[in-house]
Amino acid sequence: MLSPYLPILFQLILAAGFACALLVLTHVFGPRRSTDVKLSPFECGVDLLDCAHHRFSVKFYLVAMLFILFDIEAIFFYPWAVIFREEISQGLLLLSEMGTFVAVLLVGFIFIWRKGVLEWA
Amino acid sequence: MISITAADLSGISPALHLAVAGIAIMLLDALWPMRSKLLSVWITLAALGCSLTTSLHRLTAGVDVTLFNGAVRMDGYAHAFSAIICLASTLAVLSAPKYLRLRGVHLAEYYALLLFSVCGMVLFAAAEELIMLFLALETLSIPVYCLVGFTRTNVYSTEASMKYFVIGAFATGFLVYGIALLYGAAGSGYLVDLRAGAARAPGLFYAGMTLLLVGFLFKIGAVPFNMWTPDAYEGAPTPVTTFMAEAVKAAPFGGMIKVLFVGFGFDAAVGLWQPALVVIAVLTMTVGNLTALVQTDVKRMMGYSSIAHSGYILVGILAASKLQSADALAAVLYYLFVYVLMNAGAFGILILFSHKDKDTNAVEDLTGLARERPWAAALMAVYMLSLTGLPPLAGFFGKFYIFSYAVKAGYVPLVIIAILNSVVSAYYYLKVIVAMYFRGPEDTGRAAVFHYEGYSVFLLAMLWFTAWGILYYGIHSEPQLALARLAASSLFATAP
Amino acid sequence: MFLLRYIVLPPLIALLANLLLGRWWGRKTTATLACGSVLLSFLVSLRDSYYLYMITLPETRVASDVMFTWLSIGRFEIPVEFVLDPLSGAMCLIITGVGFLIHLYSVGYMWHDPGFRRFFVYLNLFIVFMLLLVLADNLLLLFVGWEGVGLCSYLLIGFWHADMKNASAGKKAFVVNRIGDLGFLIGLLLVFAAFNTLSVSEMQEIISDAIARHLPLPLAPLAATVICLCLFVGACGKSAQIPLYVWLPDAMAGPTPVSALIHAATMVTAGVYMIARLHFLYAFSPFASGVVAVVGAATAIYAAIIGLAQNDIKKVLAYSTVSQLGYMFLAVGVGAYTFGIFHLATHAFFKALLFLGSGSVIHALSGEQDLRKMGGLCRRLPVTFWTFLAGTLAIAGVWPLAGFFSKDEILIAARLAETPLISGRALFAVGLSAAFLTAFYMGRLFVMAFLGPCRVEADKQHHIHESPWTMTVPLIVLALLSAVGGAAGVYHHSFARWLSPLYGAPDAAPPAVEHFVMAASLAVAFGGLALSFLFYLQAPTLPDRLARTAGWLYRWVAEKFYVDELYEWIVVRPVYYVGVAGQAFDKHVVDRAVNWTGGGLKGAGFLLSFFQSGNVGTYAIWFLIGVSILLHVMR
Repeated sequence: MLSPYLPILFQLILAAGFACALLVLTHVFGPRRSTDVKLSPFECGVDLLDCAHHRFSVKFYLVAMLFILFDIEAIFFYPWAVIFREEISQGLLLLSEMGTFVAVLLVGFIFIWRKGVLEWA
Repeated sequence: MISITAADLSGISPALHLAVAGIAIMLLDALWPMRSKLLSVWITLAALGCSLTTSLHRLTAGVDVTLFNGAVRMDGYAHAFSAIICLASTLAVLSAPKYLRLRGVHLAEYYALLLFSVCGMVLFAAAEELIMLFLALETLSIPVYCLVGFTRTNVYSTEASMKYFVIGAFATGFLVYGIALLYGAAGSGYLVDLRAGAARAPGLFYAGMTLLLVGFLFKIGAVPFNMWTPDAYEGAPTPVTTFMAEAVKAAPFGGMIKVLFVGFGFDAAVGLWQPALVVIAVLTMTVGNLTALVQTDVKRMMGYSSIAHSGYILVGILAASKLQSADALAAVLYYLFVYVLMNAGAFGILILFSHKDKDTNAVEDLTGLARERPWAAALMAVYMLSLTGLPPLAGFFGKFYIFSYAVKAGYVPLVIIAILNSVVSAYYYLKVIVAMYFRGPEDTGRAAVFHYEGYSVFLLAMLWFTAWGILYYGIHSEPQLALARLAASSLFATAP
Repeated sequence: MFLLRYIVLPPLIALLANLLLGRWWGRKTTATLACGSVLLSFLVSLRDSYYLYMITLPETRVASDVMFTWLSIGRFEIPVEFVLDPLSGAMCLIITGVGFLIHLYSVGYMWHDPGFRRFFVYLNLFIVFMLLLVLADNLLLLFVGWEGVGLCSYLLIGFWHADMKNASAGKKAFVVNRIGDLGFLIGLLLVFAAFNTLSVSEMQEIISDAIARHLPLPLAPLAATVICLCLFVGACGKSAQIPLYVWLPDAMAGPTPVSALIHAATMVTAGVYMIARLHFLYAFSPFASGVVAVVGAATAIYAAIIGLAQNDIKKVLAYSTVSQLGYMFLAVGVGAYTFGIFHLATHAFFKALLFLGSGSVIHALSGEQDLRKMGGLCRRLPVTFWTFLAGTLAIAGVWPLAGFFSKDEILIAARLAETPLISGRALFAVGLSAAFLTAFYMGRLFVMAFLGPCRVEADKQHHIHESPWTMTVPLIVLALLSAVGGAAGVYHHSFARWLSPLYGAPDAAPPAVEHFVMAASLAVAFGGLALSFLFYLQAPTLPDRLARTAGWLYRWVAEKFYVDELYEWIVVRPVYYVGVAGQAFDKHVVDRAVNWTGGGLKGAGFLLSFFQSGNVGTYAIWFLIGVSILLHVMR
């Protein structure tokens, strides 16, 4: 009964095994010569200005969340676009449906805009 | 071939009213923030009223339509739940403005969130398909997580919100997993098609069924998935607790009963979930009532009491499934209706006496209420006695109908346990009455002042309506039962 | 078109209005609403009864009105259904008619009382429950009314509850009635077991159907006897018959209009009404009917004897009420339901009149109730005097006033009765003796209150005054009714014909018996009155000398045969000591058990609340454990 899912299981085992194997292999075979310079933290090649344990402004999360939200909503355009071609005879209906969807999104956008979420200062 | 027709949209108009109103409130608040508060209360009430009347009208007219390629079905059952939920939400909305104003968080978002949640609840009882069910459940839940943390400067409120969210997400994980397994077994998400999966891949199917049930049991607060309830009830702002205790309580039963009766209504599955639910019902009633005994905070106590009531309702569901009788299921719907009234009222009294700097939540805070505010005390007494289940109040008849059908179904030991539990529950409900009537400031050593801070006509209307309902529908339960019977028989028409 | 529900609704609405909004309006509005609503009920009852009368076929004179279904469990339904037939129509007219007059009277009587509004709310509530009782078709609904009037009675007896004596009188009424109600409730359950319904009309249909088709009856003779006796125990409690009569004299602690309305005219007759309503059950059990008749006759004479030696004006009337109720039970016990109800009606008129009259006297004398401190009031209170005279003559059975006719019919029925327990002659003799005693103690009361020298205390002398019109008008109307009510009832047998759909046309008695009884009852009425005038007006020293020569007998009677003391010794004390023992047992055994159980439950609660650590991780672990168990089980 589960036989159709067997390839997936093998795929999972393979992926996990490969990842683990690589980590183990580098650990075993990689040379380890640690100097002060090599151990010092850096970011994109530049020396750190101060401590990394800062609290980020909550606005950062807010913007990040909004980005993800709108990003995900955009995914819904893809299936719609695919079907639009097949069902071109009902084009107007399809267009109006997407119009409603976008309108609802727009309301959300207006809301966050007017509420000042997008203003950083 | 895809199509969303006008018939689809008008079919789900009870849900659509609410969604549109919610969006309208958001727009209004964005564009015209000065005036949006009171206006959004009215918009919310109007939308709920529209949905309520539409649902009731369609329920009595016997409307039964299958929409969106069979994903949603608006039949008598869905309309009945829609009506109960809209009523419950209306009561919760009526209790909100006063409290939120006192806390300085009277914002339009509150009403928008609430409306979106109610929209999800209406669809939850109407869903005929697992993905739809999941979508509706999440639409129902997520706004509630936000609402619990609505007084965001209050530590307890945010803590409750966080806990509720984490555990809720945890439960949702199980639910989605269950849906995936069921789909894998049956090859279809439609409830009526599920039974095919039991024959094809029983292992997958029953694991999926169990996980789906876990998701529901979490929502109704059944033991051992009940832990979130008291914390969330206590921490949430009281109007939100009101909403959670009645609407958010009643709605999951809508989806759960349908899935149990339609999706898992065949003998092999019934043979598995019935005994499991019997044990869970016993645990739920007993743990809920026993823990409620030692609480000193009314909100927390009501949280445990709501767990116990879930147990009673499970007894009713079991009886209905065993008897396969619409009358028995109608008793469950009637119970939910009554339960909504009692809870709304009880929390309403707490809101009535909450002050700007302090809530009135402890049992001790109500000491001597009867001397200072005889009417308020009388109302609270009505709610408490009805929750205890004393005749001739509606709470008695709710329990009475459920238990009598359970006896008929042969669940005699279960009913005996339930009645013993009712007796235990009398202790903590009456504790409130004792505090109000038989004790005074001299017993607690501090003078309690009961003055109305922030007078709200909405709240008073809600209190009087619920008390009237408890008295009136206790004596005169027939019309409500007739509607419930109509709804229940439409579910049995679909069930295999 | 019948408007049955509108008989009950007006007082209900009025009482709700007075209860909820009363504080915002004055006494006048309260009084107008309360009285007006009862008057409205009376008019609606009158209209409905007239429509009932207009139905040509007497057998079909029944109207019903289903308000809603109260309870429904499967096929067992209890509707809130009102039924109007000649019997309930007559009762409605008495309740609302006399009730209205007493309401009107109360306006004057209670005007200065701080509990004015509360009083009228209770009074209206009483009317609602009483109407519910008589209009109910279903015995369970009747029981609701039955308990409801009991509740109102309890509340009104203890109306001035600040006084301990009144409160304990209320309590006594409550406790004694509970004993009766227990019997009644057992009776109801047995009826349900036998008939599988509690609807009177359905019961009647089942029986007539069984008789028509020669089927076996649904209940054996023994079962019928047990049911009837159980129901009669209930009637004894409510209608103050031996041995449950003891609460009624104490109930006089309530305001006088309450005594008139509840403890004379209406509520206490509920037992008689109930037996008359279920006459078809009693027809199956001659034994139970015989018991009813014997208890009735015994109560009639027993209470009359006690009434001889009472000095409190209201106590005399109370014992008189008990005695007259005994007459009614005598009537229904020998199958003369028509005359039982007829006496109920006339008694409602003259006893309400006498109570209201005594209230007027008490009002005038600033609360004085002792007959020995009255006298010579005929000049000072003319309206009260003349109306009281009418009432006295009516109850004594003087032709042509109301009491003569109804009592006469009952005595004839008793004389001709055949019961398995006792001969009709004996019942008749007892009834006649009671009639003599009635005439005597009423004459005594009348003389001591109104005639002879004035013995009123000096400080109360100067403000003796006639009562206001709201009090005298009811007196006059009731006096007229007491005067002509009886004659109107027997004129062309109008009352009997009105009730004939239920009880059939009454058989004509042999003329010889009729004349003999009539002569005898007239003789004892006049004899009793004359003797009392002789004793208390002509030779006032005679009674005292008599009392001294037969001292022990007099004291025995004056102390009500020491029944209260007897009950004290055989019921209250033993119960008390059992109670003390029980309390000790309760305290040391039951309480501990309960406390341990409660403590155990609470402890369990504490233990369980430890699971509620507040830690989300712990919650998730319990959640997982639950899921694992479920997954394990549901395979």
